[in-house]
Amino acid sequence: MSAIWLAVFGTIVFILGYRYYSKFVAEKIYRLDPNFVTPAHEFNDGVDFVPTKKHVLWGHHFTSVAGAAPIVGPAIAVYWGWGPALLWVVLGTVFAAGVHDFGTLVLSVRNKGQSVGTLADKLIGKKAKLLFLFIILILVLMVNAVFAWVISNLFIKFPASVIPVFIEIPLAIWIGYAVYRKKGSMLLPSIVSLIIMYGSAVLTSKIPALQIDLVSYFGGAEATTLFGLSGVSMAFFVWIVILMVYCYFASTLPVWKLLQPRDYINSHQLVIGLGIMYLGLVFLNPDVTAPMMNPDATDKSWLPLMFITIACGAISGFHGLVSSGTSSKQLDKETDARFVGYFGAVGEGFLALISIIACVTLFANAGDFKAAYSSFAAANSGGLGNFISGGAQLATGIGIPADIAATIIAIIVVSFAATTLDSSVRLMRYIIAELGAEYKLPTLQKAHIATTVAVVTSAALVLLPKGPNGFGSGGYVLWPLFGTSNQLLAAISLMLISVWLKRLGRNYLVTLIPMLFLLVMTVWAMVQQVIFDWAGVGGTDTNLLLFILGSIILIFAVWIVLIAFKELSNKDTPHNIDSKM
Amino acid sequence: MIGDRKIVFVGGKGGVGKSTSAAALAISHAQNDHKTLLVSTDPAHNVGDIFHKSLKNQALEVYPGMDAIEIDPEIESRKYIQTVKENIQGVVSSHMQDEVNRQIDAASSSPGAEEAALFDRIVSIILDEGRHYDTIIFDTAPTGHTIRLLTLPELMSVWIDGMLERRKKRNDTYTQLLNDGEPIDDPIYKVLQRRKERFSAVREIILNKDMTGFIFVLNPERLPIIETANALRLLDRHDIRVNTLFINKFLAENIDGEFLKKRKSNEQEYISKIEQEFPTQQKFYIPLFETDINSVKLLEDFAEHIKRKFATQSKYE
Amino acid sequence: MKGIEALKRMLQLYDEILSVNHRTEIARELRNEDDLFLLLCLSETLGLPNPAFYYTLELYPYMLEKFHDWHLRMGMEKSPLTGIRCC
Repeated sequence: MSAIWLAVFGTIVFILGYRYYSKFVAEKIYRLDPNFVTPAHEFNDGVDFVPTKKHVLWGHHFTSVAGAAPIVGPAIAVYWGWGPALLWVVLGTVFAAGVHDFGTLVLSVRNKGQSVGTLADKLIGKKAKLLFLFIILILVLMVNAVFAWVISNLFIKFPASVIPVFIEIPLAIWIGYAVYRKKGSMLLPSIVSLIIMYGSAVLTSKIPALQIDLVSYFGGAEATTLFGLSGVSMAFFVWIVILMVYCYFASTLPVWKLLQPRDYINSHQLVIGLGIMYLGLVFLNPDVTAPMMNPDATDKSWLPLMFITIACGAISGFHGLVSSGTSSKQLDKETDARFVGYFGAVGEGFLALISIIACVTLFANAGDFKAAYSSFAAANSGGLGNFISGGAQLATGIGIPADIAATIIAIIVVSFAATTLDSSVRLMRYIIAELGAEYKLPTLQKAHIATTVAVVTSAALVLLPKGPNGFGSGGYVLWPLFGTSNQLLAAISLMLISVWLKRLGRNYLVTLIPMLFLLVMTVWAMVQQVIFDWAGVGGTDTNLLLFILGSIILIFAVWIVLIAFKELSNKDTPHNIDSKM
Repeated sequence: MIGDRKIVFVGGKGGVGKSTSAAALAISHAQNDHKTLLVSTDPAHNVGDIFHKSLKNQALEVYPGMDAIEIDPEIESRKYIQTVKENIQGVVSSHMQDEVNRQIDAASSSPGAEEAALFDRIVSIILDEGRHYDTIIFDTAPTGHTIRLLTLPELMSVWIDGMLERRKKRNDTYTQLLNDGEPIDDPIYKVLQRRKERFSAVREIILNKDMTGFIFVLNPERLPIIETANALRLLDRHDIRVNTLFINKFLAENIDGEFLKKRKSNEQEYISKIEQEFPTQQKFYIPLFETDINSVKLLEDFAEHIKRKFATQSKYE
Repeated sequence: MKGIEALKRMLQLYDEILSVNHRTEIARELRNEDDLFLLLCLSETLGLPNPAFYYTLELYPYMLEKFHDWHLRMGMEKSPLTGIRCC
């Protein structure tokens, strides 16, 4: 079967979902009012609250949420075949992510642009807010660790990508200064930088000497280096340290010097990446070689694990932070929320879709596919590599040679992951500072101290899990934890929206059902992993770190269930709401 | 001598004959066809009393070719405040205006406000009004006050420079990053800049040895000598050189009586002390008159003494 | 030509999208700087001695509009100056 059908199927469902379902939710459930004075107009302080046109805001929102997660998740989840992954991405986007991203945006707009954390406090109470903060803290910790691993892994597997990625830093700084001195937009210089980067990618793809392969530098995968670490371990270690140092600086420099120009470049990469892969798909017209359901995927069932393996792209709590953190403060008209929030989720869905397609068309036949995706652990550690090779193959459809395409796509994924990583480090720093304020620990509020704490804990977390290649290479096992904390965050947000709807006397099934689904999947998955995988029951090795983290998340999950039950089952009449609602 | 300088500051302890010296100096300039302005910054004004005229905050003629001003810091301060209030009118909503005015009035009575207002007037006398005169003579308050006044521009420039730098950096950032390179109009910067320029101009004039001279008046007695030495050291640290001393009220040679002879020898000691302590300064010894200088005629005599001494002294600097 | 026009507009939109992202942070930094400046000018009334205080008065007209928002941002719920009762 041609893979184009998968794309067509996804596109049709997305369009139908936007056209009908989001309209239904907008009009009947959220009841958007075009005359409502949004916080952007009410406060309009020129800094945070700035009314922004719908299309610009959509772009801003989308580029803020798009990252490497909607790529990595599906790349792993196709382990169970393309069927479950495709359905979850498509249906999740339409019924869960769309509603969630849209809903958090509206909830925040109706409440003076406050973020989900503050809303938790307002709608439920202080404990909910603290719970929320802690879940975000764990989430960003997971994000930091996982993405540091993703980047290091790609540097090791695709050493040609190293130089182009690192060139981006001085190029970005140059752009920052050039634009500062001579005014003008960053558009042209950033496109030029991108050309330089990809140009260097062409060179590094062809010239082995330019490929910074740390593993071979340390003597090969099996070689023993300092402290008895294997070559691969050492390579991971070095890359991770370098990344953390980079994050530290990115987090503390003024935004126009590095982050802004770099984000310009990366946005171009998003457009280019989507472009070459979808276009390549159309011209190459490859066959789907993976099975629809993989009968050999026996070591872990797709239920419930798949639903937390793919978070972004199906539903992600992180998006709610963006919706209620920045986008809600810039919404011009309430009715724009449908386009910005829901369609933003759809955009993410498209990204996840192409990830699925890349992975299921890569291999020559089903046998090769199953060999590569031989176990869940293999899927976890190798999935991303498969995406890159698969995406490169798609790109050959428009004439780009496979090795160059692979380097370029690796660069794109690394860039996305890096953006997510340093935003996440920044976010972690703010949360640490806020917790410091809450618990009266003023040292934590100093920027450099908070950043150091963030960076060090993240580094520790990514280096500790033991992978098959030894110390430092096991970060990918954290992926399910990342997925679960992300889903829990989404569950809380959905709960808040449900509580709000309930108090308004409206039907809240559209948020309740996704919320229950997520909670069930999350708790089930965590129980399964904590008890059966990490506690050592049933003959597997104990893994203390994962056991502890998993238990913590499990406790939070149960806690949310209890709160939800309490809030949603009491027969209160509507109260405690803004009169404008 | 001082005669060539445009501006002269006359300082000294209270009671040494400072105001009288300043007035006499002014008269001698006026007599030499220099249009002269005598300014008293001493809160305990004496100049008006000397001329038996009631002097104001504005220039009044007290002698042919010479005007005098007694600066009233309170009036100055009120003028400044009034301007600030007027500027606020256009900007702040009316219900806030009363509140703000109240706040500003409170500010004007804080310590340092009068000194600052006084200094502002000195600045405008030097830079603006002074242009109509050939010579300006400042009769300044007792020493400590004078020193503060003279070192104010230096102090303030540090503050102003700091504020200006902050403001400029902020404006540049705004221009480049948010305004597409269009320079923005910042009234705050303009106000600060204007003040800085004026302070700089005055500081330059004060430090310019060809334009400004400093005279200290003292008596041949212990405390005035000590105080003058301290004052000169302090001013020297701020690059202000006092080159001329008026030693006032010294006893004439031909005095009789045991008591006075004793005082004369006492005084001789102090005079040698003065010669010792202030070797490089030009020194004018003005004798003690029979009566205190309480009329214009006597002032003219005093002025004669100064002129005569000048004629016989060699020019130092 | 309509095609070129549309392309130009799309590029403009794209540029706007990308610059919106960080405008907020830059605007915030500038606002912090303004806040600090205002603090320095008002320092005397808040108990911090400032030798140049008298001269800051003439800057008031240009800073007072933002006074209310400023004191809220500084964490003071009510106006700290007894003279200025904006809330």
